[in-house]
Amino acid sequence: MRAQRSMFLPMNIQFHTTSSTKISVLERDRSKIPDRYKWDLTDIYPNDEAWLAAKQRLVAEIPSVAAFRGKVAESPQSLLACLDLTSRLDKELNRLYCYAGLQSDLDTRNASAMAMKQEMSAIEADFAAAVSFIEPEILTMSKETIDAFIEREPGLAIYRHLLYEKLRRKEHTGTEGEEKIIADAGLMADSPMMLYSVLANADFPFAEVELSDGKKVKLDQAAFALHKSSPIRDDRKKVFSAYFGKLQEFRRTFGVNLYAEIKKNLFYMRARKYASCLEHALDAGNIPLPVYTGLIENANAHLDTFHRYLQLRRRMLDVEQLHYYDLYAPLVKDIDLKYTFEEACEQVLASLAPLGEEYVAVSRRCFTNRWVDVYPSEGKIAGAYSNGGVYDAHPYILLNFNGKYDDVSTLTHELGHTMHSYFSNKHQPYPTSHYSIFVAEVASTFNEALLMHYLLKTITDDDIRLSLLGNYLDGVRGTVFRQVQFSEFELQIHQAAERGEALTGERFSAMYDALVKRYYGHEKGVCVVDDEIKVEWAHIPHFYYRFYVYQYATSFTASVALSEQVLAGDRAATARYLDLLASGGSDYPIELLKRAGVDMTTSAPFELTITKMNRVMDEIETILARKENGSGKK
Amino acid sequence: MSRLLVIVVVLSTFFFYGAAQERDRSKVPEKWKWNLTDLYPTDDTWRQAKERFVAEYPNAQQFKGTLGVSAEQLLRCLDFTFTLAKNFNRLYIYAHLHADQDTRDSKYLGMVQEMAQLGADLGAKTAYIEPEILTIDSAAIAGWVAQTPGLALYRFYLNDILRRKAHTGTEGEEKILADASLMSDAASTTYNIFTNAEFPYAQVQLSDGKTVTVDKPTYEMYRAHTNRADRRTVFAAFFSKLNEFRGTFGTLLYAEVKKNIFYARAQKYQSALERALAGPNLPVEVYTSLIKNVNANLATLHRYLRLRKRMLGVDTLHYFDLYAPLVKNVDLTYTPDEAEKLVLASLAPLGSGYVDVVRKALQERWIDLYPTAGKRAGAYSQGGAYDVHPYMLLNYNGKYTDVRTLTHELGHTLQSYLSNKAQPFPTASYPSFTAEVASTFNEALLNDYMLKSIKADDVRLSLLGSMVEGLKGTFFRQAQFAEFELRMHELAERGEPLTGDKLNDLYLEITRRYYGHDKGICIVDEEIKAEWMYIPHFYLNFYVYQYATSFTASTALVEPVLAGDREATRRYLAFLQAGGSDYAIALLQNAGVDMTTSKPFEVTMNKMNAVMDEMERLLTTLYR
Repeated sequence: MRAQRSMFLPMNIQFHTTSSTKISVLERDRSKIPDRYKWDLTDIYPNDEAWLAAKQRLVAEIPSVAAFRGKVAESPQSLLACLDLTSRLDKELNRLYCYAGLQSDLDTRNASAMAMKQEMSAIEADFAAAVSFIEPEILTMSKETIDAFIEREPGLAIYRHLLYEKLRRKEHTGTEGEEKIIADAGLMADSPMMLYSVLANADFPFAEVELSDGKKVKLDQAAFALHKSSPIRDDRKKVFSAYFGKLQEFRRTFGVNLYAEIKKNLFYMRARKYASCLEHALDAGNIPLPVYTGLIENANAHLDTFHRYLQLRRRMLDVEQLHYYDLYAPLVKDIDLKYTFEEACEQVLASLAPLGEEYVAVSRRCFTNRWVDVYPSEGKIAGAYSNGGVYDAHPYILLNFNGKYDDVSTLTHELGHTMHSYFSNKHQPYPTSHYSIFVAEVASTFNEALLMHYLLKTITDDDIRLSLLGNYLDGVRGTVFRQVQFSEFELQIHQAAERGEALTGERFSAMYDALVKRYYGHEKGVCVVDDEIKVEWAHIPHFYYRFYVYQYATSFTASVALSEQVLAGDRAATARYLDLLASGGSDYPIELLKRAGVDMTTSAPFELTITKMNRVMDEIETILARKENGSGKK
Repeated sequence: MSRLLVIVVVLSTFFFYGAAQERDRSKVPEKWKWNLTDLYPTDDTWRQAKERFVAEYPNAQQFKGTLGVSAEQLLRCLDFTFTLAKNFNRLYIYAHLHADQDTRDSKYLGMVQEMAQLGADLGAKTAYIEPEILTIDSAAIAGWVAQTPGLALYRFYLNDILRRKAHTGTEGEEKILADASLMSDAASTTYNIFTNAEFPYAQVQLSDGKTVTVDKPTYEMYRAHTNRADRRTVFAAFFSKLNEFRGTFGTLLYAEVKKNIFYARAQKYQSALERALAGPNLPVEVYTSLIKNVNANLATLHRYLRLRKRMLGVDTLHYFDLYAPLVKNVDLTYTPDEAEKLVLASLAPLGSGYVDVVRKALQERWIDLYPTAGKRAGAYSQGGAYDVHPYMLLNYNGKYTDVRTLTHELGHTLQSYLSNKAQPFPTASYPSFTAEVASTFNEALLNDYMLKSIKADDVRLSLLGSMVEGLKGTFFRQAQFAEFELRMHELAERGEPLTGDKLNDLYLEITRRYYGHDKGICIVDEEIKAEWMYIPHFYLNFYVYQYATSFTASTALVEPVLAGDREATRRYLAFLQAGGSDYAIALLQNAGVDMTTSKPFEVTMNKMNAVMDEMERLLTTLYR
């Protein structure tokens, strides 16, 4: 993820780190991993020298944009030439950036890749400054003039949405001089996020713990992700307290850095003349404010359903009192579904059949043509993502695959992003190829729903079904309730800063603690949120993405609504869904989703998710009752 | 950034020869704890004053669009906003001194951050003033100043705005720039919190079997240890641990550099250096010729290093030998009372008026003397509370260097005190280019007094050694830092990103050149490449070169004073009272030294060589 920028062309390189970091720890020696499981980055550039040459070409070409100064709105031809040039440079910049970013993620200790990435960040700022005069010039045009230009110069049609979008945000756009300063300020914008990423991933002095089997483990993020779901309760407890205890030692540093991030958002809010940071963030995708606030209201109104799930989890784990450290423990013992990467691919492909042949064929290509970097290796970034930023090549998927069911689910999740990028890049011209972040998690969670559906159809064993259904509920917890809780936290901390309150690590912890206790029914004894959890905010990189995570929740409810129609065999719905994937950023996301068949300005999608959640819980309870009766008879 | 608000001056001295022995704060005598109730009696009264300020400062906008109407209106606006700035400083200082007293206390950190946000907003709300003044005809302003008595106070301020016309934007641009200050302190704040409050310093076992945590004060104590093996151990542990976090430190320092580049671009300067020097109206050559002069005179530094090697009696001098005592068994220690007496006596050449104020500072709890748990490392003087008095933070450990730091900080304090007393608020704060003159001037007086009163050869040798070390630390080392700062900015300005590894390479290359590593004069071990991570001054935007230039200025100024030249003494005291009533170069010229020539540099080199001549004579006598 990169910081939201105010550039002429919206370049959203989509780096979707999945929110439920379903990762694993068994690192492999990268040199011993067969090539077919590793990215082939030569599809982007044959080697670093080629990258360097392309970078130098780009740097040399950026100043040529200045030739259009004062001439952007002069004639349809001039406008087209200017837009074509900047669009091409933007595309090239993305390509360069992706190559550097992907390489750096394969080994975060690789200083030369990190340097390449940072160099791109500086070039990006230069580019933004170089093109900053264009927007004010476009803003001197009226809608009528733009329409007339497009009529006279049909090549401009692909820029129509972009041009309308500029007009829409006119009141938030400054003079050329102001825009240039805002663009230059981009030099400072990504510093807190970069610092977080380096300190939390590469440099952090992770705690060591001794587990019940006597093994000593260094609890980095990947190890924490693995051991937090240990079936041994003492180990979970120990791991939580060691992991968060160590974060607690650095709460001031993380706190001052997160505050810096919020102050950055405050700066952009003020410079762009918005009433709040949230309003600014949502306006980028033209998302109505109630989509965000309504989500928080809906989740709070349905905490009883969430608590029903927590109580069910307590019952299935068979513990007297559920604690926060029990949330990731396997619900069904001894169900340890293991998959090789090839098996995972086959299951995923089979589950995707309802989406038709082309979808499945491209997915197969993705798995076999080295679009995926499969295994964890030393220095590789944690988590998983899909990067669809290279328009002319193909998307890339980063995994840390460890053969668990979760890893299969992550695979189809990231594949959803990849296919979305692939179809949009294929069907849209570059200027409208980037899909909005708001719809980004629709395709991914849609695929998860298909996988789940497929497995439930093929598997009859009660325990495995229980495990899958439980897994689904865990998914709703992680993708909906946890993300809404994060969203509420984000809103609270921004509002506090907007009121002029100073924020420190202690203050973040106090706010986080109150919130998480409410969501988990701590006071009611539903789930005890132990004191150490208050520093969990320092563990979440997404707070550096500015009002990003709510979209996991909205995307999820949207995909529930869409996938139910597709799974019901509604062919028209399937066609509409595939159109959505191919529509990129050709319209505002709320409109695109409406056309696909779901209205995000209502609470209907959320309620549908709650209904489905209750349905799954009903089924679990039926199976549990059957099992209890069965064992009673024996 | 509005000139109005560049007023809170914190002067950290470079001498972190601070000490490790923390004391229980509750057992430190009151006399040696600063009395912050002079600022506000309680946190509650601070809070009330802050609320009043919050209610009042938005009124700064009431003058908007009317400054060109009349001289009276302009005066009303300036009086109002400068009063705001003064009140802001006092509020800010209370929070920040409390926070430094215990960096672990998040309450005061929160108050500091509240003030920082408030400061950003105050900056934004007053951002219209300078651009609006620029729309007024220059001749009209000159006429107004001549005819309106109240405006005379603002003459320098107004002329300074007109001088920077080419670098001031429209009102809208200035407002965005003011808002950008929300981001400008991020890197330095994070750096300070991380290194002072949370860094996981290494533990090592020393030769006596004791295990110590090598944090900054411990490192600074043991690097001066007589046991060479321990010095080696401590250096290696301290810098290797820093190096483990080079990614973090590299990201932070790069963020700081990018901030400077942002401001240079936004204010239309060619480079970050040019911008930094344009503020105080200094020619860029003052900086570049310093680096050139120092590089041409490395032979003098090498002479010192050879002398050090000879005195330590080691085969090969290493970087970890640089702080070891030159003369064994001369371990002068001073109680605070003894230090007080020495300092007062040494300052006598400046007259009784000066000495009386020093006495006041020592007796009326302007000073927080001892290291205590959580207290910020280093030492500084904070003279920004115009209506109150300056405060000093020290970490006193009874060594000679601590006495020197005391008189150093008193130098700052007296300059602030005398300026605040003699100048109206708008011209009270002195330019940072002159800031280290008064402090190093006092050090020179102390050294001189000590040499006059001490006869024993070994003690003299030790003192001369410490003088020459002071020269190395305040002059050569700072010039070396200045060169590093310039180079890293130049790299980033060329578009090369800075990483921890790259900064390591750059730092090692420069350090090895200065210390004659390749010539075998002093071995700069590999681990030293991480030393930049330990230097907070790289977050001060081309600040440290002023230690070097101030030092040459004060060396030139102190000679006639010590020679009893009354006129020179009078000029010097007038300089201390001049505050920021003129540009630094002019202020120093009036005091008797011309910083645009290489003369002060030459005086300094001569002095250093003269000190080394006497040391060599003494060595010959002692070991005859």
